[in-house]
Amino acid sequence: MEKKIIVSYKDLVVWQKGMDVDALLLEVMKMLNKMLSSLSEHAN
Amino acid sequence: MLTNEANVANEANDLTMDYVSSLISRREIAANTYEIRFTKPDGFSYRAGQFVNFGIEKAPYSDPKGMRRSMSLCSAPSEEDLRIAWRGSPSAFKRSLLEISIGNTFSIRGPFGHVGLPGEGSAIPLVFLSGGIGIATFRSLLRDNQSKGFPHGITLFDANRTESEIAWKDELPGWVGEKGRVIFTLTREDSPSWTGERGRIDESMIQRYVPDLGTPRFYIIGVTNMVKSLEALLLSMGVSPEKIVVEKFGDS
Repeated sequence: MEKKIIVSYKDLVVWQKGMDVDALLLEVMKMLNKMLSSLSEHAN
Repeated sequence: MLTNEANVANEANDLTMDYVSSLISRREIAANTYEIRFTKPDGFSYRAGQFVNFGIEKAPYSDPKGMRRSMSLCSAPSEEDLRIAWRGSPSAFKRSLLEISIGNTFSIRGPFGHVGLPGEGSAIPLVFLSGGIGIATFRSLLRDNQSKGFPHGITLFDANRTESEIAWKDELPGWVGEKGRVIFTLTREDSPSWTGERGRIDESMIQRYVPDLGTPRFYIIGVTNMVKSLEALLLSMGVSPEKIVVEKFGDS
């Protein structure tokens, strides 16, 4: 059993049955953080 | 052990929460370049290299874009207070930052961002390519690297238009440490007394100081056009995309 969360056209987070949910969330957070960062221009 | 980059989930911050902070001090650190220190709210934690969604409360001016901006922190987590640094501009947001009184409050959301040092146990050499106020994020990384005693050798290229615009010019060599090197370059000043590099960071300049392009991790932080052009340059020089970290600064 496998599910894929499509985060962007390039990046995939793959969840497999039995995979640690915290590890999955960590990967999702890292990816969302990276996407947010790439979208944001800092105003300094 | 988790690397710093993988450490996001350890941050206990509620990203929807407004943390309240207040202004401690403000100073000019270079021409038209300013730094403020403000209190670190209880429960707020971050990694070096991250940014916050920063709001000014009770601002003296009204900005059509609102009084919130993404601002890179230039402080390191080991420092007691939080800091941001910025280039001055005519925007109401920036003018308000210059005029608010000590004790004025800010609301902070975050932290955000994926920029960070390689984790403990890594001795990978690092090459920092900074344009203008991009040095703010590098200050955070340098101070963090120094406080943790990481063994990274750091080569910092710091490009500014004029010598007077170099922020933390005297402090940077010490923060880079004995294993590192700072290369200052000026893009618009042609003073005969200047002994550093001249012109934009380009291929020949990088090759002079970084002969081995295959080993280091590269960080590019500055205005968007500069970041894009340097990223394209590194890729054309054969640097792997996985070894390039970028962060962009835009209009205020």
